Order: sequence, then C-alpha cells, then structure tokens
Amino acid sequence: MECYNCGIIIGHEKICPNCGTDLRIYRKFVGISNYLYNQALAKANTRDLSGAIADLRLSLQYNKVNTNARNLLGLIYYEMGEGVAAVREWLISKGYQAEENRASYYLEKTKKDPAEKEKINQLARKYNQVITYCRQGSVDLAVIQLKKILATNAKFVKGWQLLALLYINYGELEQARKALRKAEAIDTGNPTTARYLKEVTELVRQGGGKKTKKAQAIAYQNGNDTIIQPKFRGDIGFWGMAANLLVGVAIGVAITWYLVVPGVRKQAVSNASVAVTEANNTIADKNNTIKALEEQIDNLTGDVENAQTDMENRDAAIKASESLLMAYDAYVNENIELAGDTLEGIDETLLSKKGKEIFQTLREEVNHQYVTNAYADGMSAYNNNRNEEAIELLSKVVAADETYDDGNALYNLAQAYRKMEDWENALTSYSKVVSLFPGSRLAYNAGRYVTQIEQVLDNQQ
Amino acid sequence: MINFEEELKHFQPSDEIEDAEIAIYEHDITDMTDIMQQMMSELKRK
Repeated sequence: MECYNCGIIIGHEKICPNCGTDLRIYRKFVGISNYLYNQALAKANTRDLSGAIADLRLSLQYNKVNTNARNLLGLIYYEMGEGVAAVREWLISKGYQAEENRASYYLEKTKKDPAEKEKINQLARKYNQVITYCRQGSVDLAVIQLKKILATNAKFVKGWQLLALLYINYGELEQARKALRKAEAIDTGNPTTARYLKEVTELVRQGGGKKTKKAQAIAYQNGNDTIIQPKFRGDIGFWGMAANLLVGVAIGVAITWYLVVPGVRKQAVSNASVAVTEANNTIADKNNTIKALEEQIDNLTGDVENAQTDMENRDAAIKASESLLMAYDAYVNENIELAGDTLEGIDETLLSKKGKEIFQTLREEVNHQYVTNAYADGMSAYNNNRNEEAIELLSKVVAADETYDDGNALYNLAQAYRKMEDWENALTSYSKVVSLFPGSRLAYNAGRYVTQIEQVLDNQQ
Repeated sequence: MINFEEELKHFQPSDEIEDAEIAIYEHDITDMTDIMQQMMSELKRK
C-alpha cells in the first residue's frame, strides 16, 4: 500500500513514517473499497453483472486507484457488449498504474487491435442508427438493424433490452420474452430486464398481445363432429341480394382503394427503405474495410521507408568507420595531412560510442601534429621568402589556434600578407595581434604596421 | 405499464473508441481520499 500523500510504500503503520500523515481513515477507505471489490467479484461469478457494476462503482468512489476493481469493471462492460465503456475504464486504470497492469493486455486486445477496435466502433455506429430509427418512428427498420447487430454481438445486453421494448410496443409479447431471456442469461441481475419481464408477464396475464380477429361463426355438434358455419342472416329476397351484392362490390372497391393500395405502397416503400439500409450498411462496411486496408498500406509503406532509412544509416555508419580506420592508418604512417583530411570528412554522429572516443582522441593527436608540422613548414617557407606557401600553411595553423606560439603564427601570417602586398588581409591579421596580445612586443610592431597599411590604403583611394 | 416513448429516452447513443479518451477528462473521478484531503487542507487553512 502507498501513502496517499507522499506515495511511499508503507506496511501496517498508522502514521506515514516519511511525511507523518495520519493514515487511519485512508486505511478504512481502502478496506471498504477492497470489500466491495470482493463482493463484486462474487456477483460477477454468478453472472449478476449489474450488481457487480454497482459494487465496483462504489468501490472506486472509496479508492479510485483500486486497479483490480477498475479492470474488473471494464471486463464486465466488455462482457455486456459495452466495448467503449470497457476501454475507458482500462485507460483510466493504465493512467493510475502504468506498469504490471492487466489493463495493458486488455487494451492490447481491443484498442490496439484494428479488427477488434473496428468491431466495437461498428457496434456503436449501428446501435446509434437504431436509436435514430426509433426516434424517427421507423420501428420496423430499427428491429431489422437490431437483429443484425445481435446476430454478431449476442452479448449486447442493451440491444436485447431495446429489441424487447420494441416487441412489447408491437404487442409481440412472446418475442419480447425471448429477447429478455437472452439478456437475462448474460446479466442475471439486470433491473431493466427484470422490469420488462414483469411487464410482459402482466400483459400476457391481461390477454394483451396481437389481436386476432376471429370470424363470427356458429358452432354446433352433429354427432361427434363440430360444425362451424357463418351466422344465418335470414332470407332477404332477390332485390335484397342484388343490393347486398352492389354494396359488397362498392365496399370491396373502397377497401382496395383505401386500405390495400396504401398497404401495398407502404410495403413497397418499406422494402425499398430496407434495401437502402442494407445497401448503406454494405457501403459503410466496404468503406471501413477500404479505410483499414489503406491504413495497413500506409503502415507498411512507413515500415519500408524506415527500413530503407535504417539501411542507409547503417551504410553511412560503415563508411564512417572505414574512414576512421583509414585516418588511423595514415596517422600511424605519419601522413598527418591525409589523416587530417580524412578525419574532416567523417560525420561523427554516425559512429558508435567507442568509435566517437577513438575519433576524438585521434583528431586531437592529428590536429596537434598537423598544426606543429604546418607551423614548421610555414615558418620555413616564410624565412625562405616563399610567402604564398607561408600564407597557405600559416593560415591553417591560425585557423586551428589563433594564439599558436604566443601569437607568432598570426603575426608572421600578417607579415607574409604584407610582403605579398595583400593589404586587406595583412591589416586584419595585424589588428587581431593588437587585440589578442595587448602590451606585447608583437602588438607594438603590429600596431605600427596597422598605421602604415592604413596610410597605404588611404593613398590608394 | 411501460411508456415506450419515455423508456426509449433511456437508450442513449454510444461513443466510439476514439471518444473514450475525451470522455475520461469529462469524468469526475474524485474519490473519498480526495475529499478527505480537501477537507483536511481546509481545516489547516482555518
């Protein structure tokens, strides 16, 4: 058990040893929550799912982080065909306990399984369609749709109850009773099911249900046979019969016109509506299938692209490692320039952790060696009046370290520029010497050259 | 006697899975411990 205030694991202490919070009332709450969970578990085992739901909700009112209670609540919702409510509870459960939680498994099997997720969503969509039909007064369409839903989701308690309600409204009491028995088999303690069953029993007792009009007839015994014949209305004569015949024909025509024709039309419209509903459902199913397949294609395309990127990254990493080996080989063979150039071309991020360490060590060594060699060669070139070569080599030294040899590298680079009459670069380099080494001999000399060069540049203008 | 129209109002449209997460935020999941903590903090303030 955790302290609700600071979250540390505690044993049987009444006061939290960490933060000093009084835990007595909290322990009571947790105890009540666990007791209600146990009650719910017992009810769930006897399929009193509604009773179990009531206990679990109360249990969570006492302790919202009772993971077992919340997971069981989700499981019961799922058993009753309420997939969305189930997922909601498991998500909350996962939010409170991310690790070692059975809710992860449930979510894996529902929310993260595209087929199961689609099945749950389909059920919700079709059920919503039924509700719409009911509210529009298209009860026959609602019954057809509900039957379809229940054919594939036989444990959908709410569906059976709604079907029963529609049958009760129609007076189809036996059908209603059958639907309610199905609901009862899933959830024995459901109060709505019990109430509807009671209503059906009451209606049957009162002789309700579909009215069958029996023909008015006279029945009498002739020996062992029962003779049934229409009531005899007496002799009415020829004109009477003719009048009756005409009236009969007139009534027949009227019935045909006012009752049969609208009935046939209504039937045709109803059939057309059913066909349209069927077609819409088929289209919706197909669209969902297409959508699911498109998602699969997108996922697979993404996988292929990721695999290609991985492969390219691996190739680049192998190339970087090979370059590192080549740089090391050049360094060992004292070809410092080649080693430096090779190291420059390596993307450090592609190397492994060990590779990066080797790269950094080698780069430091090579840089040091490279700068030393470049400085020696640059100074040799400068002293032998090969100013162009001196500029190239000393520039590399200064690029690596502007203060190299206490500023002599930068100063001699400026000198080489001046001798080549590259006044702009000479002025820049001398100015850097002045700013980097103030008060030194080099800065004093550089300052004098700065003044001279500025005069030269002014004269040129 | 069951009133069909009234009874029908109890059958509400259901959410889809995508809406379940949104519904969680609209859910009040305060428990007794939360209420107790709130009461204790109010007592301390006084």
